[in-house]
Amino acid sequence: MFLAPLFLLGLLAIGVPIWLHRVARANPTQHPFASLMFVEASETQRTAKRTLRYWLLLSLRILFLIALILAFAGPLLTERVMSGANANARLHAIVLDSSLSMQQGDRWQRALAEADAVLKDLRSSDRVLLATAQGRRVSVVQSSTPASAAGTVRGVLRALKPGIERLDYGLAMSTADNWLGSPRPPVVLHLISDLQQSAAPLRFADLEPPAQTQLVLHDVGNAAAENVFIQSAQLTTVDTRSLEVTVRGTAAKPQQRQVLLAIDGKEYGRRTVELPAGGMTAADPDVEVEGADLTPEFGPQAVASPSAKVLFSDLKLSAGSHRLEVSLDPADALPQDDRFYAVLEHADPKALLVTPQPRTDDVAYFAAAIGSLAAPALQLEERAPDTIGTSALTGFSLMVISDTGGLSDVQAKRIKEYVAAGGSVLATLGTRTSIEPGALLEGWRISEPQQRAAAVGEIATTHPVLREAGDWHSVRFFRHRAVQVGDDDKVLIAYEDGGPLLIERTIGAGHMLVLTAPVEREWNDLAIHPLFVRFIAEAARYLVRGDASAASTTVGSVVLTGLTSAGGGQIFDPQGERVLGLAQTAAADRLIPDQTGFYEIRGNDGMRWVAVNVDARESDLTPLPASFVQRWRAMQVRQAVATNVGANAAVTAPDAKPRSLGPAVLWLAALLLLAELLLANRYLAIRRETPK
Amino acid sequence: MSATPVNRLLPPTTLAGLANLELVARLAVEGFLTGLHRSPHYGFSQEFKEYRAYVEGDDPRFVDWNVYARTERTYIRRYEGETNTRLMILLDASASMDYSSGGVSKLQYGKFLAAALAYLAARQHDPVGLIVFDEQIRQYRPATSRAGSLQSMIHTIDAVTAGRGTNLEECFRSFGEHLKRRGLVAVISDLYCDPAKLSKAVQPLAYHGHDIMLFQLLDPHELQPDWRESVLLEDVETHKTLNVAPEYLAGEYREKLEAHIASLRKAAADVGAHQLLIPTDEPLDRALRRYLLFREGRS
Repeated sequence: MFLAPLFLLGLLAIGVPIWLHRVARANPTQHPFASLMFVEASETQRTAKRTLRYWLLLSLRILFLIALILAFAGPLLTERVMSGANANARLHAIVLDSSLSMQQGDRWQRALAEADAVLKDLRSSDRVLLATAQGRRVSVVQSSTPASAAGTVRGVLRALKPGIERLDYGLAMSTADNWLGSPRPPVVLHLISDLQQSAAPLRFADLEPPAQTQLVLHDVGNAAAENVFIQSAQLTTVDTRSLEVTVRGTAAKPQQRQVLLAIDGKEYGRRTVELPAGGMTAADPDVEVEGADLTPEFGPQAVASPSAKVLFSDLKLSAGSHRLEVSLDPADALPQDDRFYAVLEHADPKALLVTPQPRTDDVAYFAAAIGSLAAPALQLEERAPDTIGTSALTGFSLMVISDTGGLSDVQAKRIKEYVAAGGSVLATLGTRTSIEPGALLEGWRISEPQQRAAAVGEIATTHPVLREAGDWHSVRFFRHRAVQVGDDDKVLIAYEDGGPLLIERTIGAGHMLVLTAPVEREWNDLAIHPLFVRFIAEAARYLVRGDASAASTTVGSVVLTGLTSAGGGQIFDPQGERVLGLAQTAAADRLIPDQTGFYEIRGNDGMRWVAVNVDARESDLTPLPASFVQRWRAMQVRQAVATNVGANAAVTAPDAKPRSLGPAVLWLAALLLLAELLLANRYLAIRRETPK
Repeated sequence: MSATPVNRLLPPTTLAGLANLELVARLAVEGFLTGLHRSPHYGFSQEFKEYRAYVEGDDPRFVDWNVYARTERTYIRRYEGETNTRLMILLDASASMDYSSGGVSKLQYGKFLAAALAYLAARQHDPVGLIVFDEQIRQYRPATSRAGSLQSMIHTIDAVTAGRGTNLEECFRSFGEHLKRRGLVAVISDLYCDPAKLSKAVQPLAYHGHDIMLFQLLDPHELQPDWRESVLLEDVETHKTLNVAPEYLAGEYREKLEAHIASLRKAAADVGAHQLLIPTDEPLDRALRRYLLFREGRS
């Protein structure tokens, strides 16, 4: 590679010294002589020596010209060139599984020993890359370096620690092309892991390593490893004052543990749980035992170990948000999953019904439907639109807007901010709704109502609101309006002509469900249809996250903070440290927690807690079945064979950072010029002899 | 018109040098002999020239006893002989004679020498003739001692230019047709020829009683080439070229040349001729003096 390859045309100048020397050699000094009677043709050592000098001088001049031209052309030394010198060079990519399960027992030490063994076996022509894999990322901690720098790699290796996130092998393999770098030589990918079954991807094809890559699996797991962990802690569906804790474990012997519940940092109670070795669990009266599940071979989310549930009933909590911390005592070899954090909103959520006309049919229908809900039990409050401009909306879990046309721009913007901060809205496009969508429905194109009958077409039955949708097709629509929604909006129910009836819109951290038809008898018979109340209940449960009363998330997942550029705020991690810098506070609408515990999010609309736990799948130490590993290896063998067909493909190295050789070549040219001057000065002094 | 070439060829310094020398024919030739010739066939006339201190070996008959009586020193009386010895100058005008390494060419030197000989002979009133040759005889002037012939002779010599190759043996065979009467034959050439063939060609002339002098003119660079690098030498006659190493020129070439000169000298001696090598960087008067002294020593 050259910076300025056009300068290479200057190599034609090499012909000049060659031509000059050829002339000098072909035209020796000619002298007339009286008679050649006593003369014979002869060559001498002196002539041979001079010829040698000429060749030496010619070589110096040619080399000088080449070096000078190359210096101008700016040669670049790339890893391709360096590695191309040795076709047998391999890049040994050592990928250490640094997920939570690697903290169990001595797995991490064995992983380090395996990595060290790989480093010892490197050939001098090889290169090595060190990476760790956990969560949704593979971190290259030591980029591609020559095998001679293995000492440096060892130093980096010793400083590595396992994390608390979950690893998905599919994610690590499918992204290998990116983190291995390109171009690169043939790769030997050493995956050093405990080969957890729960780390297998949903699609087996995701495990395929990239081209020209030989996968070597280093199993540092222990099939006999035991682990007991808390899988979940949540309020029961029948009694919101009872907390149900699910404990799972894999153990060869029956395990007995104390389950401690702490609320807001204070111990609330403890229970004893016993987990048999893969059998039934004898537990306290509050403990319910389940049998072991049969885990499908490639069901990474399935947990195969037996479980037990512990019930903390009759929680006496004051209204408000509470931090629940459940822990097992004593802890085992993997203590990170012996604690579980959850946030309990111990208050009946409130719903706000916004209506421009309080005594209309749709208001009555909405109020009746919401009031009939038991779980969640919503406290309904009715207001006119002009009152929401000044009052706080954060106290409401749900806002129902009977007609978006009754909102002014200011009110619409206010509601939009409420949704963006995590609020939920169920709205209808009522009779007052004009073709101007307003701030709340920005981007939509709304047509005038059409006086013709319509029926429901497609229904997204996979959506939580519509899983038990009922017979929407029997609902009769007498008039409707055509709406064109934005690309990010999801149409959950559509008319037969494709026009949307129910739309889900996401704004910031919040959601909206919008019915494009009002609940009025002039428009349809939805209000008197049996599915109406169920739909309102499911929609309300979905929007107020009724099943998340004891909410938590996992490490590495994305949490919507609700912090907007307008409001700002701050986030504190479980250690009380600020997560956001000053520059980030304005737009940190998402958080990816990296610690377990309670994150505190302080925004313009108040404070809330986010409970973060380790991924329960990482606690299942069941190894991958041997057949699975065999198939995986067979896949990479086939892939390797396919690679050998094109074995002569370009052998390149990763992180090819071209190095300029221009200065070195220029120095070489200077040395050659000096040598040429000295040599020519010496030789040319006797180059031509003239007789005296 | 004739004065200019005479003055150019014979500068006053050369004339002054020649004036102190005496041309003595070694052999008496047929014809009119005057001076110091030892010719048994003809009378002689002598004209006093100078005194010289007596040295051992001199003939005591020539001691001037009158001078001895007055000075008590022995002096020899020297005479300038008047002879009718014919001198025929054979000048080689081949291309090789035109070679020069920087000074005068061999041909130019030969022209000087020929003119000097002619002048010397004219001073002694000897008939002088000229033959210019290369591959063949290009010019012939019969020997004559008439007044004014010297200028004509010198003019002829001055007009000589280099020709082509040399055929010395063939030319010598033709000389016999022009040299009917015995005399002195001075051959001025570089003598690049086979000594045996030359001897064979010269032999008839010697048998006819000619006294033959072979002036071999060679350039100093021919005698001692001093190139330090290989050179491409071109024969000025054949234009053939050869790449020659300096080591060869310094070694084998010189040996061959010396052997050639020795062969020439021996071949000349075999037929009663005399060969004299004259480098062209040698002063002309010294060359004449050496020759005449040699002739004098032989007499």
